[in-house]
Amino acid sequence: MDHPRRQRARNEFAGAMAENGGEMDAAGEAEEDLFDRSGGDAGDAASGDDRPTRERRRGKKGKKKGRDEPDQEQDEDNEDLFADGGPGPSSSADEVPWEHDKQPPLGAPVRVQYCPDCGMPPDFCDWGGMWDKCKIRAAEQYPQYYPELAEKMASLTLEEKEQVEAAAAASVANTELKLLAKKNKGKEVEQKVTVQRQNRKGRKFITTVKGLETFGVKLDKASKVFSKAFSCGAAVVKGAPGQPDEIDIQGDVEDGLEEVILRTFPEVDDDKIYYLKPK
Amino acid sequence: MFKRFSYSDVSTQNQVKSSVQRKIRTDLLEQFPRLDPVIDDILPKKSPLVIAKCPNQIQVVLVNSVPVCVQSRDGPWVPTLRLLHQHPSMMPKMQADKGATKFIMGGANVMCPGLTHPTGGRMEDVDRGAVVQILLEGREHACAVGIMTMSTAEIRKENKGVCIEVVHVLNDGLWKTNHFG
Repeated sequence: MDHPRRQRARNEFAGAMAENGGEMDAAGEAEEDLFDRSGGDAGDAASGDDRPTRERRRGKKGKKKGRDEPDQEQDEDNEDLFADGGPGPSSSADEVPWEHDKQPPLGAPVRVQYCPDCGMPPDFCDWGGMWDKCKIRAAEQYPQYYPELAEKMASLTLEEKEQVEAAAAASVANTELKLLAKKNKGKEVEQKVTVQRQNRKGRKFITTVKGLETFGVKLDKASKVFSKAFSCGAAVVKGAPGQPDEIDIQGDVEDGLEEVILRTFPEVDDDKIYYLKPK
Repeated sequence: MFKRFSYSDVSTQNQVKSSVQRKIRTDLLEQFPRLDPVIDDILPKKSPLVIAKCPNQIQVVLVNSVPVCVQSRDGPWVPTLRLLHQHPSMMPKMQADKGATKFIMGGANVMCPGLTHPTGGRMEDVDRGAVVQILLEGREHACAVGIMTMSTAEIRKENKGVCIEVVHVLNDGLWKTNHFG
């Protein structure tokens, strides 16, 4: 039933396809099709040690494919139908013609299956920043992109596989720790409350309280507390870009402020309250 | 351009006038004539178009809060990689050899020798200023989009220095910000 040339191609990649476990549903077929096309190049890449040879081979292959194409069209195989309507140009980027304007006109969008872990396209998982985790999946599902890795993983014994998985888990935990440390490092600022009186006009003042948030105090709550305690207006003022917010209290309330802060927010350390020179 | 970019860098987001919307549509079609059959899917007529303004005079066109294309000052529109992956043949391809991978993935501009490399490099004939997709030897999907600073003929002749200015690359700030808001 199959075209003889196709049959030959199949035998060539039979080894690779065995991994597919002979799934014959639509998805399985699509994957198989990918194999048919790009698996060939992968094989070339693995076997061709010196570049010129590899190039010649690829050239030959290209010509052969070019001749093959009409055959494929005549072939009323399910697989071919799927290939025409399905993945389309993206899955055959390496085929002739290569130029973008010689591809079939744009149709339905190609849905690239991005890696669920790193969010990269499958052939760029190794740049996604969590390769140790991704490579297990990559070797299983996308051997056409990582021929060497797939070979290596396939040759591993069960025990070694477990080791790789453990290493992956460890490295994931490690990167998470690092991320966390980085986050905390960015956040870790000195716990310090500063109080500064500012002169507005004549005998009018504003008292500015900075740094309450370093003790985990909610600024809007604190401003409410201050306005009640001193019977005056108090507001959270947006800090300059890159600076944390601060609280402005109307009037000179430096005297009672420390007491109020310590009473209402026991988490604030009384050694960490500093009075700055009035402005 | 988007190496350090996050949603917090967006200064304003505005729904655009229908005339501006029309302008964007015609501009896109002019730049990428191959988009003609699918432009209605990319910029649906029904849903409103939003432009997000970012630092350095960068504008990002959003459809349903998803970035579609970007523009720096009044340069050409550059589609996002996610859009490009959906329509891989929308624009010319330039392929660099394997050795360039780590530089391009780090956001570097593409240099001539990578494209003229005897086994890894491949080029289409384009002019200076064209928006192109950057492929890497041995990989299927585009890894970056950029603007040509030399024409293909010039690249062949000079074979030196920067020839594609990379705008947007995999795993940069814009790639990670797939949803604005």
